[in-house]
Amino acid sequence: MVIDNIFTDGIKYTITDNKEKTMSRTYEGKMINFESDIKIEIRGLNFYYGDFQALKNINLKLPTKKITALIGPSGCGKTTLLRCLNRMHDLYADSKYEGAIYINPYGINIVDKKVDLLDLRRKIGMVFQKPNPFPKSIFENVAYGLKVNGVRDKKLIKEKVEWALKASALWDEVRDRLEENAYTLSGGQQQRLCIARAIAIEPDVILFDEPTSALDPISTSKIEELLIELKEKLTIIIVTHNLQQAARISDYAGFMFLGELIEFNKTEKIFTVPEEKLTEEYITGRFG
Amino acid sequence: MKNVDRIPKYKKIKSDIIFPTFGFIALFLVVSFIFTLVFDIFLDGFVKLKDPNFYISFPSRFPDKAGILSGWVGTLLVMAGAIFWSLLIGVPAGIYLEEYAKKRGFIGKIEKIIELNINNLAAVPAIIYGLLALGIFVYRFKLGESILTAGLTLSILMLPVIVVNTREAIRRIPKDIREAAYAVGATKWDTVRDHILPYSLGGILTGLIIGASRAIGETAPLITIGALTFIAFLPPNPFIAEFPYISFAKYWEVLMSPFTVLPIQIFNWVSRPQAGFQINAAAAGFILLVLTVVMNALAYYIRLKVRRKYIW
Repeated sequence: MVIDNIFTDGIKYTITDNKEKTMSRTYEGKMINFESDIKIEIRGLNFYYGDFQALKNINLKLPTKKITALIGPSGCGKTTLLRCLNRMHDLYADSKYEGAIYINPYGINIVDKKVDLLDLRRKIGMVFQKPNPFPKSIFENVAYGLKVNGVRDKKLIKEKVEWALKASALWDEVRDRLEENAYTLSGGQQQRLCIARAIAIEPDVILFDEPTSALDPISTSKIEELLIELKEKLTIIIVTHNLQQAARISDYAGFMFLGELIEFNKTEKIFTVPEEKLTEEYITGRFG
Repeated sequence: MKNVDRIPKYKKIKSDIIFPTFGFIALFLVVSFIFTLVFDIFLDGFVKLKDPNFYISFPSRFPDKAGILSGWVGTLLVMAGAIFWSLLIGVPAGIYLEEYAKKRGFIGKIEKIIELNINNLAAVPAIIYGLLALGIFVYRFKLGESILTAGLTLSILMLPVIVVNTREAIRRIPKDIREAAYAVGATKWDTVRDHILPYSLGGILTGLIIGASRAIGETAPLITIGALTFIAFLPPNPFIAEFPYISFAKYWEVLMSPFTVLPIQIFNWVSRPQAGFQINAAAAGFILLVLTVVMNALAYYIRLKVRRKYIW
């Protein structure tokens, strides 16, 4: 697999070294010690849209380099929780966080007001429900993350774009048409392009918000394979409506209902011997 | 059941005939007005329109010798100024309202009031803007009765249109695109520069041309600020042979020179008794009409071209 050797030579260190230093200097950094197999720890997280409480006291430990799936009926808060992790809610007025989300190994509290959001979003990438490439060329789409993060070296950008496209299993399909508009690609290809765009800046974590809900079964299975390859190097958190998908690809699964995390466990346990009655009812399709 | 039976069948058919007939007559009236107007001034001014001297002569006491040189040069210079100033101020204002405006707190309330009133500004009569410009640019800032003042005045007139169109163009950009940019660590300015501005450019330019085609025909505000009606010289040529090819002192003179514009020229000619001037007025009016049509065609073309590039 192409990902292997390149993740180690890390563009992380070429992208403004000093940013890392500012992050580790925040005081929580020294207070929190992590078990190394936990990437993100959520402690007592409440989230409000205006007066409406969308998340209620979420406590969760997301393991490193595993795929964690968040499942639950519509409106249960799984996407809201996902978007807390890279502070996407901050783009809109009237959102309020309470509690803490710590990310290993930086030890910063993600929902702290003082956090450098740009740097946070570089560490925690995101792929959205609907493929949303920029209406620019395929190359520019992947290179964009590098450019806004201050990579000016053209050769490095070129290498990184090629690498990201290879890692997202798109290179063979687009190698001859990098200058074409991204909207000439099919839906599934567009979504893989979005994944390429997300991994080009080498995040530690990628959040997937129902990445395959707008795609056909063949594109879906390609993206699922891709996710399983990517988890060797990244922590993946995926929100999905598709229970089979969660069962197929995830290592851990969390079931959410009405803004609360009902159960979190290894996927096979959730799907075979759920501890909570609510989980069982949802899994067996009695509601949802 | 009973009620339905009682409705006579012809009643329905009748209403289906009456309204379309009325609509067709109304449409015919609208089209025939425009058509008559264009055709009439074209025929009236035809003698002058085919005369090349008409375009390169200054106004004169003699209708045969009078031309629109100072008129069209003035119109072009004033419009260039108006477009420059209105883009410089209108586009950032629109972007601010859409992308940066806070919706809460005291500043949010002020923003809300401004937002509500921008649409009303477009409906303010042009002469009011003329009075405003007379007070501010001519008397307060002492910019004189100059091309600069005229450009600024017309730009105020165009501003609301540009702000509103900028905002609408930005609102058409799906929020996914914004989120995608933020998700790879782009700052707000990165997003505005690389995405919001380029993708909304089509809408902004369309708004610009709609505003400009309104402003190009304005007479009242320019007469208010003291545009001349008779002018027999051109502003100095600011271009020079050697580097940097433009003399800034001369350029300033251009901005400060007195001017006239086509609509004022027309107004001036129409109010004269000689029949020859009526022909001149018709010809100049046709030129103005052509300029407006060209601008609108350009707006249509841009809408077609630029917007097709960004289909969501």
